[in-house]
Amino acid sequence: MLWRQILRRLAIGVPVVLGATILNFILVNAAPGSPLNSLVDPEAGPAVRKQMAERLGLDRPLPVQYGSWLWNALHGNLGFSYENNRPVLDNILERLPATLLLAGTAMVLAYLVGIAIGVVAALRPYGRIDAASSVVGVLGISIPSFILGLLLIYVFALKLHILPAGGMQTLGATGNGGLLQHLVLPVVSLAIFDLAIVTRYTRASMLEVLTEDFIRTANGKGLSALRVVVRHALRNALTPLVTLAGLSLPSLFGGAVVVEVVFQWPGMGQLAVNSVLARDYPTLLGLSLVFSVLVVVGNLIADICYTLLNPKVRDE
Amino acid sequence: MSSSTIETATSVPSAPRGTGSRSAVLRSIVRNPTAVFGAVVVLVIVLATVFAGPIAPFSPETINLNLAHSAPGHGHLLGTDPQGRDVFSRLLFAGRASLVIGIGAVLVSLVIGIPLGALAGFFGGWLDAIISRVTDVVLSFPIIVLAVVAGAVLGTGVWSLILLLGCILWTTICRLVRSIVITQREADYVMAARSLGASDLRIIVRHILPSTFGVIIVNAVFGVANVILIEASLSFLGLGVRPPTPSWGNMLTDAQSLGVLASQPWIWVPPAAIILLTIVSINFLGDGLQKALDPRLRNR
Amino acid sequence: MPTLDVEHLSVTFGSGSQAVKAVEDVSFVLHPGETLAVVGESGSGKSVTALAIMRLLPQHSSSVGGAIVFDGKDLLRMRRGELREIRGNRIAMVYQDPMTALNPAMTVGAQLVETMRAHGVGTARDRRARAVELLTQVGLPDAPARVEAYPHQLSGGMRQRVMIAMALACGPDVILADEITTALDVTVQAQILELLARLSREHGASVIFITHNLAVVARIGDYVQVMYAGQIVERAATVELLGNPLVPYTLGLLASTPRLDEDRSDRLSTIPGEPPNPRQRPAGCRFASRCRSRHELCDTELPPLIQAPTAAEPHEVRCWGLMPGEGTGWLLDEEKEDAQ
Repeated sequence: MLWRQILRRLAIGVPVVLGATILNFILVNAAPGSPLNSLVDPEAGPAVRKQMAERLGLDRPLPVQYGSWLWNALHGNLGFSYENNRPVLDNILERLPATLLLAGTAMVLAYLVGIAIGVVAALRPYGRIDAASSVVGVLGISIPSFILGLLLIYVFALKLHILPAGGMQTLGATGNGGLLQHLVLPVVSLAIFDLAIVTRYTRASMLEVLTEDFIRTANGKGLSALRVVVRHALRNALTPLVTLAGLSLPSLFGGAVVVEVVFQWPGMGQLAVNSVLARDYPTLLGLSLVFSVLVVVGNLIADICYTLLNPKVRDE
Repeated sequence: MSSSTIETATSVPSAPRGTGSRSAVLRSIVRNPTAVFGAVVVLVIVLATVFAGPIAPFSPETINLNLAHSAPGHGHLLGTDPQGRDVFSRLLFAGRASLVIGIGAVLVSLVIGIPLGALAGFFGGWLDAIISRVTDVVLSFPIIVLAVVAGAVLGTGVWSLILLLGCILWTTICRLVRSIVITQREADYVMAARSLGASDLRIIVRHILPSTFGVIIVNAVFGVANVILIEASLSFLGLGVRPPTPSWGNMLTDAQSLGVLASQPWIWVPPAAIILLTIVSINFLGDGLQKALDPRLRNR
Repeated sequence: MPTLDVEHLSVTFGSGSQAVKAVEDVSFVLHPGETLAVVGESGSGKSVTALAIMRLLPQHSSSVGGAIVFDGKDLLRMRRGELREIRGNRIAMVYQDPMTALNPAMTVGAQLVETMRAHGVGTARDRRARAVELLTQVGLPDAPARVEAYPHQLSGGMRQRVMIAMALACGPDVILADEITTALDVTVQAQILELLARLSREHGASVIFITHNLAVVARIGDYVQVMYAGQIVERAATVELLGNPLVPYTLGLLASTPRLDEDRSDRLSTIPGEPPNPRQRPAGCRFASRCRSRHELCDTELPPLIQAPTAAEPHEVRCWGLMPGEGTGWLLDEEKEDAQ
């Protein structure tokens, strides 16, 4: 039954990924100005342009271009970057770990801290921690990650000099090159938004669960307050959060793009922005494919976790 | 049987039912300090940008390289940017772009999202399936990536941005309307209307949609805040509003240089502060509206 | 030496003008091995009394007065730590709605073991075995398999049995059963009642059995106390009360209980009217507005709970009509007439 759910989710995911790539393909080709302009010397005659066009397959009808791109993609060939002529897949894979590290850490941070604060806020509603966290919460969803990033750089790197202002590693340093230090500010900038949302959702979910009858039963059994809160209340309050996690992936990756630019973090986001500015369409298409796949896989994992958490769903 | 009532502040945000009288809504907002703060600040900002013409001491686009990078003083309230343009004036005019895009995009998303959501919810079946799949595709996409790609394509005028962001954001409203319509379509009053011969269209528009207005309004308000946030990010990256047209976001592009960031705070602090203030205020207002429109929350 | 001694218990919800007295000056005593049935309609305060004993009422919106003495200590004044040792262990409660009273994310066996572990019953392996044993005792078929089941995989009747097993897990001295059969259908009801009666006998536990259904009382109670609008209005041994009901409210309850041997064509008799609004209770007898035998005194003064003069056995009643004296006792003559 678990396998059936996975298959079903995959089956839905495939058209989503395809749809996303088609959408991007259309957009990319609707762009004014052909990529040829940046690839071919403007002085060169029309024959050279035509040759280039043929070589790149740009003279074929669009659906055919898409079809061949898709076919190649399924075989692991995402074409070659217009920028540096390397295989797109290689370019992307090179940067994938950096983005996953950034986004993954941010997500873990947001959820661990957010759940903790949300639980405390729910246990003492309208108390000090609750009030404070709700104000901070509004700020958290209101501040664009790039502004937060700039502020953090200003305070911690430029004024206090305790953290680096960008990049992923310190040149010439030993070990992992001070990765942790470089990770702090970008992760915080990225995580704040989701942290605010998770705190709010956890609080609401916990408040709802705490009114359920089985909490009264648990208290009536003489269980410790910790056990009631964690094993009975939180355990049941977590299920909607898992769905939330899956749904927040697109915005997480979106935020990562901006944060990577601000902090010069060598990930896929930075690649995306550079590719746009350079009109590097194969890379853009490849990136859109990878992002879609990541989101679909992420939702799949969220679904699996949901099934694990919620016994009722397993028997359907 | 026992009358114990443990007040719950809220469940996971759900559709507010029956908005209650308009005066009750207003009263609830007025009693809410953060909502009032939000409303006042938003009003001030809107007025400032609308009257930017008369208020601003300089034109936002006049380049004066002699005075580039200068600190506040000499008639420039907030100093000048790297092109010698007056920061204060640019700040005022930039608000226009951000606010117009914010409101415009939300309107577009409503125009697309409400009908689609109502149709999907009311008729179900394959129509629902198609609309939901399309929603999934758009939603599964990191907004920024989509906007980045499309921004490169559609050009950078304010109108193209409005269209672009509206076309990305209709999905939330669509889903909301759809879920409300689904719960409402089996309701008694719908059956009553149908038995009186009302057409489907009439039922949807006159009977069901009004119950969605509360949710839509709240969502629209939060949507404006969201769009302003996204637009700022895009403009910052150079993919949104392009200079010389000022936008709060693109006023911050210069801050990417560590030199500017470290020693010329007048260039980036004002736009950053304004963006933050605007978005926070709109969110406070939205929160206040949400509480006012949801009867359960009102008594708190 | 009574197991449980409830003295002048009162429970108030809310405060100021919104205050509601759910339970007012309720006192009773429970002896070892005894089953006390508490009968009353919705709003009578019977469930609140049980929740007050377990101190499960919401802290912020309720205030509890009086004393509840268990094992020499007042439960109402106990610190949280001591209270936790008693709950689920020496005093256990079974709740009304089996569908929502169990944690949907834990297996039934885990919830049983959890209780035992919290109170140090046996070793880990013992507990698991004991869980299976308990489920068998409560009549759950195929107990070894059921132990791994989740609540949603069981029917209402089975879940209620699990709840009873959970209450018995640590061998409590007192079991509070709050309308445990109300949410079940009739055939299952009978089984659950019998189960509870048998198990409490076997385990030597006292039971407070709360119900709105007087018919059930005959099967399970040694003693009955009838509550109305937050107060006790009649109390006696079951046999005595059912054989010799005195207070008008109780008479009304009994009359409105359908009987198999009645002529079906008669209309079901009911008690006219409704219980008073808890926020605005009358100064006098709470039942006055619905009582056939009402006199002026009933509207102005609250009758005390006294031993009924016409009863040979211990039998407490709260009714001016049953109290000998000047201007009272009008029902006593009728009693004498009935007796003749």
